[in-house]
Amino acid sequence: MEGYRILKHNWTIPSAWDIDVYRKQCTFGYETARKVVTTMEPSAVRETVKQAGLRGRGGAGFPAGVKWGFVPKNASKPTYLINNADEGEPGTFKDRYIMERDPHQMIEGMIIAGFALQAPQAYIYIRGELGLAARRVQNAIDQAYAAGFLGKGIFGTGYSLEMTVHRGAGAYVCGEETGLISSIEGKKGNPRLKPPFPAVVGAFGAPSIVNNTETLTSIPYILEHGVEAYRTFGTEKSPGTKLFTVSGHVEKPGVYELPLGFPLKKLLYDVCGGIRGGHKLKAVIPGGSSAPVLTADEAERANLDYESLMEVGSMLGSGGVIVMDDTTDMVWALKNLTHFYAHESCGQCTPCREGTRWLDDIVTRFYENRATEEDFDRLLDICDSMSGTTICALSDAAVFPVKSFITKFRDEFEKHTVHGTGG
Amino acid sequence: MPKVTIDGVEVTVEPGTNLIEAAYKAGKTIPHFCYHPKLSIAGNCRMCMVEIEGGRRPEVACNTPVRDGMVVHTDTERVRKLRKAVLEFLFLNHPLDCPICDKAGECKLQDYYLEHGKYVSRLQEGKVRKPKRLDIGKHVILDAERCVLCSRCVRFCDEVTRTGELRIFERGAHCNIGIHPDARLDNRYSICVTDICPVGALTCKEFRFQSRVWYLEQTPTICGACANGCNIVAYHYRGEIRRFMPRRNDAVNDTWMCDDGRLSFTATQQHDRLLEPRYSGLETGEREITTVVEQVAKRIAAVRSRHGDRAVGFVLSPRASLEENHLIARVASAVGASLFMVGGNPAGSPEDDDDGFLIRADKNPNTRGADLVARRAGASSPAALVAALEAGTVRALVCFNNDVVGKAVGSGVPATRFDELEFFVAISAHVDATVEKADMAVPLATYLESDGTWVNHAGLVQRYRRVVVPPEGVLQGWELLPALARALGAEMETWSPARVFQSLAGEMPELAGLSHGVLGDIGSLLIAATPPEVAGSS
Ligand SMILES: Cc1cc2nc3c(=O)[nH]c(=O)nc-3n(C[C@H](O)[C@H](O)[C@H](O)COP(=O)(O)O)c2cc1C
Ligand code: SF4
Ligand code: SF4
Ligand code: SF4
Repeated sequence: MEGYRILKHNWTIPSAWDIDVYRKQCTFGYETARKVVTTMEPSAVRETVKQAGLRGRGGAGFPAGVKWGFVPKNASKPTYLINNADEGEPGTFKDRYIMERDPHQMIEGMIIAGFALQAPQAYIYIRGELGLAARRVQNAIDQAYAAGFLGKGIFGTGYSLEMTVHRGAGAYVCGEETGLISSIEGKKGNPRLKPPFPAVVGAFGAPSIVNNTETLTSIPYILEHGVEAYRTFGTEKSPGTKLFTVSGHVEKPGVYELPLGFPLKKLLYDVCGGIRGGHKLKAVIPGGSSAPVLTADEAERANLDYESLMEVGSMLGSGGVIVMDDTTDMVWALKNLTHFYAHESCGQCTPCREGTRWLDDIVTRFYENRATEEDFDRLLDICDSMSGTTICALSDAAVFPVKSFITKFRDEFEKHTVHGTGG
Repeated sequence: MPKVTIDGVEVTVEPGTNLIEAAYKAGKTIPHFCYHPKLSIAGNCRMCMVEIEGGRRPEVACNTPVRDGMVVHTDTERVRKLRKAVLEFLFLNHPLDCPICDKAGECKLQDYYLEHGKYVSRLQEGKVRKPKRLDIGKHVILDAERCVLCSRCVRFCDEVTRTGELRIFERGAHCNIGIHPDARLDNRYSICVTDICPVGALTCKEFRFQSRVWYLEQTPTICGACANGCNIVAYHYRGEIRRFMPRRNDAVNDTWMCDDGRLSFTATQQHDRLLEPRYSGLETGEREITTVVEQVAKRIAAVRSRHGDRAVGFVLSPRASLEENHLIARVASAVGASLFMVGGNPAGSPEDDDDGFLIRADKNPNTRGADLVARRAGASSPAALVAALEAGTVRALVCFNNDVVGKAVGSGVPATRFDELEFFVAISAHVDATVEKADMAVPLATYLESDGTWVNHAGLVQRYRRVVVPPEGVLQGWELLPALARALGAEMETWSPARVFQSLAGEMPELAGLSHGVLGDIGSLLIAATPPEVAGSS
């Protein structure tokens, strides 16, 4: 599977996080960035990324090149590039690996993106818990400054780029791009009403492009090898490769780089060595905890790209694949998730603030065998009131697991009602 | 200008107007908690969702500017369901303190529940408990449980007073409105947060447990505590004022007012009221106001006959209405008396107290109006009054609602000057230094007990209205002054303030075309006086 290694290529090289190793032994080695900054027009870089069809790896899958095009042409303020490395989505741990193993490729991607946007300043917003990643990134930034790849007039050109690490403090919602911007500004990480979108009014009132760490790390390959080379991976609508972080009941959990469109079944059984201890597959959450759960049947039919997963009623999301075998108590699993969202809601929007807690209360009632038959409809009704009715997508994210768990695994929940337990 | 159709009603509005405001124009109220016309858009309560044709999902009306041709529905099944859901969500953790909540009767939760809620409770779990009865400032008490987290108060302190005392702490269902442990909500507009709080989370100490609001009557009027002339509603119960609240007037005070002004009614109402005439040798029978006026006239007549008409002086007042000042000037001219204008702040006013927002250094409501009348009538300056008192050319002085003695320093007239007067009359609502010094004092209705107009610092002519009736036996200025004129032998009919204004407007180009009717509830700017024609120019 070596051919897929756009993102993971350098991970096997010892100390790739050191700039000397990165420059001598790794792909790109800042030479791609040098070529781009010294020979290309920013508009050509934007066009290349657009043509490559690179879609955002943070969850929504929005085409990066298209997003870059939303920055107003004659903005009075500078554009900021923001690397979203908050990686809080349960089941997701790819950006952490990128930062720990190969921070220079990420920085190189950011230099190219920064140049494409003519951004004078880039931020990397790193999840608070990721201590090693933050240290590696800061060290890599310092090295890049020392080498003249960051700072004033990089690669001897007129383009200057400053890069700053901003640590999160452990709030999932700060990964939402506008919550992240609030946090960078030093405020409580409350998401903001859209419009205006960050590309128009973002950090400190200036146009800001927020991209996921993995999105940015994919960029050097595209600029080095070109659109066609990149598009040899993946599908027409979901080009390229993506990192999938497999956790749960497989023999070999881990971070895998696969071309988009890769069959989920193959990932589970071939790549990850199958379900652990010979157990049977019960369910898979394919794209981080916010993605609707798939039954074993659905999972075995699905391919890992944006469109295929939509077709089976779920989403690619962040690529966090959570595998559950037949020993899993789905009520317990759901309670774990509802608790998470209730804990992480920023609390601005009435439906999310109150709804996430109410969902958690009712799911807990199931878990404690106190639920009644009416609670199914009640949950679905609350979910309906929370869908598409809030400032950010956390509310929707909280709803997807609930709806999918209680409809697809209703029999397990039935057993937890007062009636079902004979209580 | 964009045209939008809201529930079938087409309206044309300014570009950029949001759908809540556009809906008002179409005669529709879209319910909302967090939206406030004078604060930034927060869009957090999610109560104002509407459906827009061609849209994928309902949108919040507050953050949706009109687009030409937009077709909006505010009463679809989906919209009704979402409103009901927001209310149900809000009530999940709401304490329902209604019986002991000051907001009851004017609470958005209560009102919206009746209009958009009415569901059967599905709550089984306990409620999140939060702090109650927190003393967060000089005038404000916080009950965090009642808060619907609309952030209006936070935005007010961030955007209007720019003092930033309040914040929402924690997250999720544990979100808490609060104040930093070392901070106090002590900005000078702090009570405004209790107006904009849609529920009973923020209440005003001075109003707590004073009234059930549904018993209160409302009268729109003007605050008289400084030259800004903030528009207010006075709430009263059985002739007693219970509170002032700001009334929206974008040309004056938006929707705000300062705490001093808001609480000024207590002083106006009770503090040191002059309820009976005062003079030495007062007989019981002479308490009757007409008798008192005759007594005043008799003694003025005595001075006139001894020293001539000009030895009697009348003083205009920056606290009296345009109408009252006009009447004072007319009485003076009818009897050939001297006329003075003495401005300056009342005794005890802070110096240079101007915050560039609403609070004006001039603590009189009508300095500009009094000056207008003074100029028209050729009134003399305080310096001229000092000179006249020194020279003994003025021997009797009538001060109307003007504490010339108390504020002696500010007005430029030393207090001792008044000692030499043969006859000194104070017509006043309160016992002040002038009343104490005067030979006779005649009680007067306050501005809350009378009608009239004031001209604010910016030249806006505004009507204040009688909120409560004056105490037994106390006259309003427009009743008292013509009575005095007649007692002095002049001819003057008693006209209503509206009629007095009409005659004044006929004389003064600055008021041309204005009337009480035209002024209405939001007032009107002075007409710029046309420059005098240059002789022979036409
Ligand atoms: C509640 C919530 C949490 C999110 N957390 C993350 C995150 O940790 N990392 C991330 O890249 N995107 C996260 N996102 C998505 C971002 O809002 C944004 O879409 C993304 O960073 C854009 O980058 P991309 O276009 O490169 O994917 C989150 C979104 C939501 C609603
Ligand atoms: S949806 Fe939830 S997390 Fe997002 S802004 Fe609203 S309350 Fe906060
Ligand atoms: S804010 Fe006060 S009046 Fe309104 S619902 Fe709550 S307790 Fe009742
Ligand atoms: S205290 Fe009142 S104004 Fe402030 S956030 Fe709560 S409900 Fe809104």
